[in-house]
Amino acid sequence: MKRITATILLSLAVSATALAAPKNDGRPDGGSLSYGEYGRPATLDPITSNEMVSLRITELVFNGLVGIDEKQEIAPELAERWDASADGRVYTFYLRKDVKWHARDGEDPRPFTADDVIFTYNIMMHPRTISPLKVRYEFIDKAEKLDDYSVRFTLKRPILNALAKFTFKVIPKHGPSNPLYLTREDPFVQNPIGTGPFILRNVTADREIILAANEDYFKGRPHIDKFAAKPFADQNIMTQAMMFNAIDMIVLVNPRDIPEIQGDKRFILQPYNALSYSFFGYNLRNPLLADKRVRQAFAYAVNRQEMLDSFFNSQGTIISGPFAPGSWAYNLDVQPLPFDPRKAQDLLKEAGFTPGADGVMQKGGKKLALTLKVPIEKESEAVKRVVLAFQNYLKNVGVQVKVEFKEWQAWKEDVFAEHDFDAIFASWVFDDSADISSLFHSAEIGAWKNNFGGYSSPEIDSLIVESKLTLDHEKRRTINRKLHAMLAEEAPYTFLWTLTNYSAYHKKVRRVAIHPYKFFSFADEWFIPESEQR
Amino acid sequence: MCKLGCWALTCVLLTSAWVWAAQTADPPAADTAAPAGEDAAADAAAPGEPPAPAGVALEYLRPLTGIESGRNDSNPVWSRSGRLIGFERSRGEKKELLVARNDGSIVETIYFQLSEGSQEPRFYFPGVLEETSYNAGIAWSPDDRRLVFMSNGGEGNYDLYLRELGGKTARLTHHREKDGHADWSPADGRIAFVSGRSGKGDVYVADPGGAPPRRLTVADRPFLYPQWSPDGKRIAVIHGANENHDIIVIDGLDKPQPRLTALTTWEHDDLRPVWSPDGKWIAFYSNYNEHNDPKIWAILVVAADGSDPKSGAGLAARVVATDVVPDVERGPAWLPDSRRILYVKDDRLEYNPIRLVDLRDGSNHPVPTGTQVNHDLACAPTGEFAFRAQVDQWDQIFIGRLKE
Amino acid sequence: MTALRTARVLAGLLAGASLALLSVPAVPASKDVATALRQYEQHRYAEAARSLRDHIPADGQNAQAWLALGMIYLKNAELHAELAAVAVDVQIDYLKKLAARKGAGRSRAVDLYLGEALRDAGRPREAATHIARFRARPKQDAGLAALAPVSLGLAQYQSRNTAAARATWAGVTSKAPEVRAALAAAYAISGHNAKQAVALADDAAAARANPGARMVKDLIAVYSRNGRIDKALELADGADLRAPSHVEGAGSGRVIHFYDLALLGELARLYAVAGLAALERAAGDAAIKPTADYYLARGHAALGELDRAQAAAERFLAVPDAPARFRDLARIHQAGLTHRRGDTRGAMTVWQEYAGRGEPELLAEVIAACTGAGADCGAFLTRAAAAADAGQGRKFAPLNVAIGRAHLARKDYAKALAYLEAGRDKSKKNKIEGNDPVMLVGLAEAYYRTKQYSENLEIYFEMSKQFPAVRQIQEAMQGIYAVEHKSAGDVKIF
Repeated sequence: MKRITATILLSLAVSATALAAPKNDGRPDGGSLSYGEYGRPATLDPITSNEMVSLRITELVFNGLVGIDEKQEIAPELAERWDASADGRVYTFYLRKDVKWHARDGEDPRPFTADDVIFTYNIMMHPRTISPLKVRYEFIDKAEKLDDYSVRFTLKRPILNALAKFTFKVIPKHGPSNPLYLTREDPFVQNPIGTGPFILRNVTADREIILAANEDYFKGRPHIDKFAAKPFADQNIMTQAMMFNAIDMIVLVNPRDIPEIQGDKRFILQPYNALSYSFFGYNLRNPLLADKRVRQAFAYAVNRQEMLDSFFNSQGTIISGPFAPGSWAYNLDVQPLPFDPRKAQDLLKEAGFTPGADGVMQKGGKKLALTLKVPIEKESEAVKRVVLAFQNYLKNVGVQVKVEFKEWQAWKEDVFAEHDFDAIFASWVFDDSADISSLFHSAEIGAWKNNFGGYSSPEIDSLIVESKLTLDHEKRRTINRKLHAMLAEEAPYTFLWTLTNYSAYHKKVRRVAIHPYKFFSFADEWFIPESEQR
Repeated sequence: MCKLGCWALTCVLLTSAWVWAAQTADPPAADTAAPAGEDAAADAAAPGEPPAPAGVALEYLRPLTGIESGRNDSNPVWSRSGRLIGFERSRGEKKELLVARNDGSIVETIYFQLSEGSQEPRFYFPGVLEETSYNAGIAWSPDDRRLVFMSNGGEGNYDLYLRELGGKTARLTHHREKDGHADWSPADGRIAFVSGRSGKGDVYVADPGGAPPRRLTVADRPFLYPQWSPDGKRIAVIHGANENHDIIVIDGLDKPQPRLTALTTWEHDDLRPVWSPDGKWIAFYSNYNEHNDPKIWAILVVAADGSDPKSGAGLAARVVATDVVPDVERGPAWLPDSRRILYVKDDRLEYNPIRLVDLRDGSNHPVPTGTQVNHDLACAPTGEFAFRAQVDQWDQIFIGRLKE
Repeated sequence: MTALRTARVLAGLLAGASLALLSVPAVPASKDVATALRQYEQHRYAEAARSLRDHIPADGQNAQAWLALGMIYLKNAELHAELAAVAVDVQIDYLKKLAARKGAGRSRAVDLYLGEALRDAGRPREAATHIARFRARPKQDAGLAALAPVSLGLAQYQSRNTAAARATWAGVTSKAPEVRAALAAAYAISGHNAKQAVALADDAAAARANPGARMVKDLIAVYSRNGRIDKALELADGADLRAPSHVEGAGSGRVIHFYDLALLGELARLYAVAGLAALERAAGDAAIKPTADYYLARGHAALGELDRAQAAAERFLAVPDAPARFRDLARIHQAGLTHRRGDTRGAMTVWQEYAGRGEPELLAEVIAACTGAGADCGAFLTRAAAAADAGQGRKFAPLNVAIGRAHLARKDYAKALAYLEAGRDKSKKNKIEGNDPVMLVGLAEAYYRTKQYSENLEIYFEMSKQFPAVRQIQEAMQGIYAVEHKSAGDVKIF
């Protein structure tokens, strides 16, 4: 195949000779940082892990071929440069030659090579590997080693901003005991080695995960000597532990603890926003919910601002449609529907419902009674409160809501495979592309697809397709504004809010930049002044 | 029967449920079982029906103050006589303290700011210098006339302050590290608290007379939430780190080296000890459970003299309630008879109902408050109890009394 | 001076100042004044001004009401000046991205708006090039095409090519109200044919019952420069400040909203002159006069009227029983005037004296005054940073904010971000009730400069609920973010 290769980015952010050295940025090395997590990680590798606690650890231990820097730009990591074919289907990565894997006890560190990249891709995509990543990389047709320090990925089709996908973490070929696929039984998932700024040293009897600075880190030794991840079973105790100096940082502060922490000058509260929002989503296969007036009635029936103020200490923003307010796609002209229970009742009546003797709205002998399914993994005090409030708000307009809390996997099966639900409470989190196409396109209806509610509209479909095809940013903005307005009107979800996450940390930790999803992406740059190291 | 070393909760509950040794100071024996266990009453009800009343009824239940939106009330603390009740009120980032009579009338509101009483001329500083003060953690003096609380005075440093009801506020502690978790001895004027001045949380005792606080604990891990015994001779506290805290009792307080006795030593998280009113028992939360799930909590009761097992199946047998919502600011709520405990059950579908466990027979009863998302239970010596519950999205304080 | 340049000066001079009202204990504030001041404290300036203006005639305490109104307008002027200053860079960034597109899909209006933005940024020669490019393209929107020569004339005028400007304006033949209003504004701003400006504007206004955003901006420019403040305020209150000035491709699959950058600057100027007018009326009452002078000094300085500012400051400082704290603040501010008059040493001496006291409020004022005067504040910043790092509580928030804004002015965005975040009330985060919107604008800029667009957009999302004119910044920022992001389209449920 004749292929014109266009080198699109050849900038070398780091000299290939700059290995195993201090950063020489004038900031001191030393000190330790312990941070509190509410919960324990199930695994510590980047392939099988599925929760934020693990993700944060893997961010310290591993690297991708490329990374996203503090300015949101794609930056070289394990790959020092790359080429993309003009048709956007072939990506060739040229790997650094100065990267070493963390050494296992008694062994010399081994070099990182193309074999590790191919190994990672293959093990990630193996049918017997249980990994949430697999679905994200199905767009890759094949991965090939060209030589020890170059690999080639061929895509099934060109995709927008494909480079960002190559941030997946690379694991060593000599890591897992099973060379074909990775399960949670493999010792590697509890005792991984990577190439990243910190080396997993041990897990203590108290389940603290101890990470030590990688002296050979290819971007220069991280400033802080030691990170310790400390699990807590109670959020209040975690907050008190920080306030009495047992830990230095909480990665995600309970909203109700924000005023107390803010009231203490020793700590910094740092917001970090993911483009995410919470919603009640409806199953439009239920004929009673197929009428948009019914769904609109739900939106009028709930007082979203009150819930946000009381349950989340006002730490968020009410939204009007399918985008987060911090995204570029949000339609600023669409206002959230007001809390108006009377309007909700009017809409239900307009849709043919009349109140039954028990106060529940009925139509054709069928009660307007919903089963709301909530994943237990999501369950927290605040979620419980939101669900109760939803039940009460809807009861006030004659809608009965029965709540079922389900284990995460069972919930996903009910919602995404069986479509056995009337309503769900959940949140979506997006990257900067704010891509909602998989949520509402009719081609995404089906088992394990994201359009779980079965929403279908030819007009929405065609707008989504048009948005995907265009390279004109303004056109895409225009389409998204339309999508926002139409989906707000159609109300396949009751759009609720975007919440603000806060990290809290002691003032002694400096230059703290936080990645909105991965958190520790820039932790090698953090430092503690010598006078405050202990 | 359980084999030696059997820790499984089901095993404990089904075959060796601990029955309270009523009227005796002897520690309860794990094998003096009666066939009454968790949810005995609820189990009798048909599926889908509300549990039948099982001997627990309310004499009354009412919101302490008017139901109001826009603020969340929390942490009710009865005065030692039970005539007054203090609680916290959050409006946005501000947290103030209120003191009320049990008829709901407000005695006073405390919103302490260090700039109070400043001699600066009265100027209006629009939007520039308004301080936000955070006040919490009430503990009452034995005579009901004073209370101690934690405040940052709007200036970013938590210390303890004394409030004379109807009078002035005076500083009790002054240190750049946090002071908090105060508890006033029921016997005298001593106040136990936790301070970060040692570099981590340690227990100190202060005397309102003004002598420097005395440090009681020295260890490499923090101590939190000290609680005086009813006779004022001992202090229960939690000690540990991360998700593993143990219950410790400090005695010999008058000696140069107080003695620390661990009541629990296992790997589970044991939080917020509360003395029974007769001083013989200590109830606390623990995340011990058969699933080894660190977020599932139980209440255990052990002898305060340390004679009960400190770990293993022996301690597991001291579980009196499972699936509990841990409210570490308050702890399990003993009724005055030292035989019954009110607690909040972690029941998703009933939204944290209130339950009563009777330690005499191990029976467990719903308390028909009809309230939802309950928290922060606290019992007065008079038998009244208080808690917070969600009403129209906002937390209100309720008070009630059980029918005897 | 264009509204934007005025705005920049305003922004610098009013920045971080601890605005204070000397209450007069003997005469308690009336209910209306108290209500308005509560709204002012919550930074709801439009509401506060409106409610007060509606009640002044019926209020026996007129002087207090005028004083409060003056304060409110000055603060709103400061905010809009900040917004105008930030909007320049954001708009230019966005419009350049739009203009970079080649081929049939290229926007037709972008050259005009980019030209106007560059002109407002003080780059009139580049502006003229872009406007000329716009005019050279065939089949332009007729309305815009008619306006373009007025705009070009203003660029020429700014390039000191007065003759060319006059010639260009003389060639404008369109009688459309929008064009007449634009011409009137150009006259009012340049001083050329200034006498005709009001009549032209009145004619235009009479001919258009519901003027569009651009015309509103032009009419405000005319009226605020000619003493017709009430008329200008009425226009500002009645207009939809969210509305774009021009919509390209309406109804098509690709709609682009263009905004008048100068609107923000004109609003800032309007509120400043309205504030001064109100304060002058307040100063008619002997009891209120010292307080009014305190603010008049700041307002005049903001508009570049240094002599008047100096006179007002001296009047205030001459009051024997003026409270010490406000004397201090006034002296620090006055030193800024001294610096602007060229007496660097004199200013530095005063600032050093106050910085030496180590009080956070005074330090904040020193940093703000020094930054506003464009002086070298390095030494004060070092001292202030040490104080802020060691400081306790909300009392230090203004100091953190002042330091953050100083770093913003020095283009040290990482430091600006750190200090402004330290000064931000997290419990209310973006809510303007809890955080001075001027600080939030600075913080949003720091996020923009560090390419954290979603943080920037979240700030403006909340702010737009009270200040609709920020829409133009939101729209431009969304446009920049849409181009800049590099993500791949991941979405995850949780």
